[in-house]
Parts: sequence; structure tokens; C-alpha cells
Amino acid sequence: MPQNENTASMIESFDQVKDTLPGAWLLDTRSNAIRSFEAQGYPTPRTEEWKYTNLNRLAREGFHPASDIGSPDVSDWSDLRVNGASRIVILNGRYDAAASDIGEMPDGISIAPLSDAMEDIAPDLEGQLAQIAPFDGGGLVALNTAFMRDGVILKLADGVQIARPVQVLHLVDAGGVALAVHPRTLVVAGDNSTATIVETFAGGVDTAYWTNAVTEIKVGRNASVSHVKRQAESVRAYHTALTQVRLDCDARYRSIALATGAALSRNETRVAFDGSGAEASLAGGALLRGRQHADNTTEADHTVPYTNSKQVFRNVLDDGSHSVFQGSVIVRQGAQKTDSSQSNRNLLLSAGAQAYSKPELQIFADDVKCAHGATTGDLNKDALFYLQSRGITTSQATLLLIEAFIAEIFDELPEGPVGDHLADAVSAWMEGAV
Amino acid sequence: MSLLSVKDLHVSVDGKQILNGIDLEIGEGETHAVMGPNGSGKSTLSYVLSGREGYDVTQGEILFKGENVLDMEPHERAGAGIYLAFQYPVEIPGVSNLTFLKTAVNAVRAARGLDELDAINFLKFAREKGEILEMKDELLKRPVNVGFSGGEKKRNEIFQMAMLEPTLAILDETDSGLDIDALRIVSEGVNKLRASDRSMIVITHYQRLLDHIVPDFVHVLAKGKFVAQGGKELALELEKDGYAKFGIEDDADQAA
Repeated sequence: MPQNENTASMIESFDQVKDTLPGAWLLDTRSNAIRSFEAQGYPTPRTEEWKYTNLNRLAREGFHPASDIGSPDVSDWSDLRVNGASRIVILNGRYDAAASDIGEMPDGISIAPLSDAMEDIAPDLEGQLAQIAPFDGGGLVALNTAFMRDGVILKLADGVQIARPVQVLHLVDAGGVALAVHPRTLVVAGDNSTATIVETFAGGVDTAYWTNAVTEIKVGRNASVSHVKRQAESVRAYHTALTQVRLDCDARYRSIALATGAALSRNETRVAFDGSGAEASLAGGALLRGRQHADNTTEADHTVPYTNSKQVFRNVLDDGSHSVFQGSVIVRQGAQKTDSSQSNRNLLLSAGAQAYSKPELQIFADDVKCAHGATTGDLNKDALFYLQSRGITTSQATLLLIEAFIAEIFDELPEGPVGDHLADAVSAWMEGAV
Repeated sequence: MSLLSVKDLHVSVDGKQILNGIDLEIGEGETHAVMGPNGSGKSTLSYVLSGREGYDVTQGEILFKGENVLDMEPHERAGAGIYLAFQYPVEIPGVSNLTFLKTAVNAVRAARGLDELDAINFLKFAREKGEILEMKDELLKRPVNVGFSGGEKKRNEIFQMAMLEPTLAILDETDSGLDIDALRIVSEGVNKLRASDRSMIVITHYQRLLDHIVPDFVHVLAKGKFVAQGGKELALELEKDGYAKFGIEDDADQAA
């Protein structure tokens, strides 16, 4: 849908910065991507997939592509570090070597900032970068492909296990500049390999900015990738993200994505099953207040027999905040014995809060299990009184019930620092809760 | 001075009058039974004492240790020493019994000017009190009342009472839904918790419970008013003659 001047200003920006973007070999891809963006435009509510999340304000903001923004102090965000993790910091869309700490990696693991990788190991990336999530998949992934400048590439050879989690810490603090960053992460896990990746997003509150992230993950045969995302962007920020996953035979992918930040966020997770025996568990949700809007959109595309998908999403909404859950499960002809479940529950703490929930099941095979359920409600008054009658204050009782409500999304969360990272997100939100 | 003093209490729910002038004086260490048929207002009395929302006191007063209870939030009443054992204990998925109890115990301790218990001392305290009710450790780890049998739920209520050490315990139909063994464990637990500084209101439909927990006083409630009051022998009269003697129809008698 070719639109308006909003699209034009982005194309203009592209023409200005394209020669400064890393990886000359990618220029054709980038140019094709921006043309694709020109054709697709920003998503609008006229498309079913974007019915509940309107990017109109974002499109009008006039964000600038990442360029040299100086070096703000990142120590303010040190409590966002996952203890013991290999850490890559992407500051204002660029790799920050000083703040990063990749550490020693065993043989068979290659981890690098994407900007370096695009320059140095181009042949290796060709045929992988922008393949799992192709740019014709939507206006936003097209924009990211055109502008992608930095991020992380993580590759695991067959049979390699990374004991330490890998954390990518995305920080934006561009002073008065309305910055748009388009980070890209590529994870390629070889057969029988294991990795845990943590993506954390945060930013300064001085000005509005836009994070438009794309994460591509390929999980090899019988390999296992755990993916934790903590979205704690500034309350003035826009956050749009696509995670596209491809699973080979017997591969396992587990993700937990928790949002407490951003004025408006859209977290899209799409999983394609390429091999039998693969399983995906997608969990997440948002804790929101004020006028925040958070959208979790998922897709589990079962194309082969004997694959499992499980989706558990919980939203807690205070004040006038809005949540969206759109969960799609596609079971294609021939994807017999698919076992999929989906559950979305929303807790409204205020009369002004709203939750939109849209399960979407498309089933073309006949021997499958597909369960789904969605509920939206207030705090259970009986439970609240029960707790109060035991001496627990209303605010403490409310916190206990909120924690209990969201507990299920953490069922598969590993204990230790990665678990603490998300628990911290919950307590940070709670501290502002009552 | 009475521990609890209820004077001319009128309560309505959704505009419907349920209690029509209750007077009740409870001294320290006394156990009072409140008996009555279904719909007589027994549970309303327990909820209004513990502060549940939706119960409008249209007339009268409740004083506890000389303080106006009606000005207090439910958690403040608990801190002051009022405890309600629920007729239907609430299931709270996702909150473990231990987390719940630790939060509750430390909340009432704080309200009573006592130090918080740390994790080790809390566990010791919980084990000690758990023995009184024959509570299995496993029940402590489960979410509050989730997957508990009817008897386990009622035991959990009395266990919480042991933990929270109230000065006034209200037992709302604690005997309902219990088989004879569970009734024995629960009532023995209650009896162990009787003390000279702990008063109880035992609300029940049936005399059966009062064979185990013998009250000092019995009040018969009908249509929101006490229609008879006396000693423990009054309960036996009720058992023999039924509520009809007091001009009360009891649909549950026919059902039983």
C-alpha cells in the first residue's frame, strides 16, 4: 500500500545514509528492501494483522536513522546486566565495545557484533542474514533490512553447548535526537547445540525514539535455543520487533518475552516448523500502566507431522493501558499429530484498561490437537478478601495476586541470573504498582 | 469489659435487610456457639465482623477491645486479633501456602509490634503449629487451597488460625462437609487452641460440632435476630426438638 510522505521521508533518509551502512555487498539487498518498504508502507489497521495496533503516530514522528550520537554513560543501566552472561551492548544502534564483555568462548562458537561480521565475514553471512526473515514479510522488516547497522551474530557449530547465556543489551539515549534504530540479531544453532540468548531493551526518557528490531533464529536438528526478552524501553519510546524462528527436526525453541516499557510496542514471534519432532514454547506478556499499549502477535506454522507448540500469554493492565494478543496457529495439510495449545489471560486492574484477544486457528489436517482459551477479568474479590482477612494489606494482597496471575509464563524459565533478570522486571513494575 | 461487644446490629446486603438487631457480648476466653438454619444470617454475622465488602451496617455498633471495628479495614481487624475461618476457603492458584502464610504471619506480627520471623524461624513455627492439625508438609508447598480436599481446606483454616494467634476466632460452619475423622482432627485442633485469652464464635447449623467443641454459651439465630440464648444445654434441646420449637422452619432439616 504505497502511502504518504511518512514513507517518503524514510526513503529520503535511506538515500542519505546508505553508503555509510556496513557491508557493501549488502547494498543491493538494502536497496531492494527500501523499495519493498515503499511498496508495503507502514502497516495500518486496514490490515487484519494490525487491526488493534496503530502506527500512525510513529509514522508521523519523523525518526532519524542511527548516526553518531556521542557516547552517553551506560552505567545507569548496569542493573540490566545478566550476571555471568556474555554481554554485547548496542548503544544507539551501534556496537559499544567498551561496555560489552563477550569473554572467552569455547571452540565452535562464533559471536560478533553484526557490523564487524558484515564487513569481515561476509561470505559466511550471505545466504543466512535476511533469509529467515525476508524483507517482503512486512514494511517494518523491510525497513530494518534497509537500515540494519548493528546487532549480534551468534553461530554454534554442531554439538556445541554454551553454558553462559548471551545477553544483547540494546540501549538508546540520544539526547534530543528522535532516533530510529534497526538492530538485527542472527542466531544459527547447529545440530545438537544448546544456547540461551537474552535480549534486553531500554532507553533514556528525554525524548521519543524508535527501536525496530529483527531477530532471526535457526535451530538445527535436536538443538535447543532458549530466548528471553525483557522490553523495558522508556515510556516515550516505540518498540516494534519481529522474531522469526525456523526449527529443524526435534529442535526445541523456548521464548519468554516480558514487556513493561514503551508507549507503544509490538512484539511479533513467528515460528516455522521445518522438521518433525520440533517443539516451540512461546510465553510472555506485558505489565502496563498509564496509556501504554503492548501487542504480542504470534504465529506457529505447523507444516510437518509430529510438532508441538504451546503459547502462554498474560497481561496485567492498570490505568488506561491496552494490550493486544493475536495468536495464530496454522496446521497445514500433512501436519498430522500436531499438538498445539494457546492460552491468553488478561487481568484488568482499572476500569479504563482494555485487552484485545484474538486467537486464530487455521487447521487443514484432521488428526491434531489444538486447544485455546482466553479470559479477561478483574482481580478475584474473594481471593483479595481472603488475603486481607489474614492481615495482608490491600496493596500486598494485590501484588501477591498479580504475581500469581503471571506465574505461568515463567514455568519454563531457568533458575539463576536469567530468571532473576525477568523477576527484576516484575518487581520493578510492582514497585510502581501500588 | 467484654472483648467483643455487638449492639443492636442491623446489616443489609444489596438493600436487603439480613441482620435485624443483634446484641452479643463475648468475654475473654469464652466460646459462644451461634446456631441457626440456612438463611438466618449466620455467615453475614461472620463477614460483617471480619470486614467483607458489600455488608452495610445500617444501625448499631461493634466494639472489639473497646475499639470501633467498623472503622477498620479487614487487614487491620486481623492485626487487632480477629480471625475468620471461612465456610468456603478460597483457592488461590499461583500463591504457595507457605508464601501466603509467611506474608500473613509477618503482617499480623508487625501490626502487634512484634519482629518479623525470618525464613528459618517461620518454618520452625509452621511445623510446630502444623503438628496440631496433622498438616502434611506437602500441603504447605501447594498453592493456597488448590487441590485440597474439603477436609484439608478446613484443616488449613484452623492451621492458619494457629499461626495467626487471634484473640477472637470466628469459625463459620467449620464442620460442614467434614467426615467424622476430619471433624475429629479439626475439632481437636480447635480445642488445643482454646485459651484463657482467646475467645471463639462457633457458627454451625448442626449440634454435632458442639459435641466436640463444647461452648460456654449458645445463641439461636433466626431471620436476623437471636431468638433464644442459653448454656450448652440449649444446643441439645435443639438437637432433640429441632428449630421448630422456636417457631423456625428449617428446610435443611427436611433435606437431611
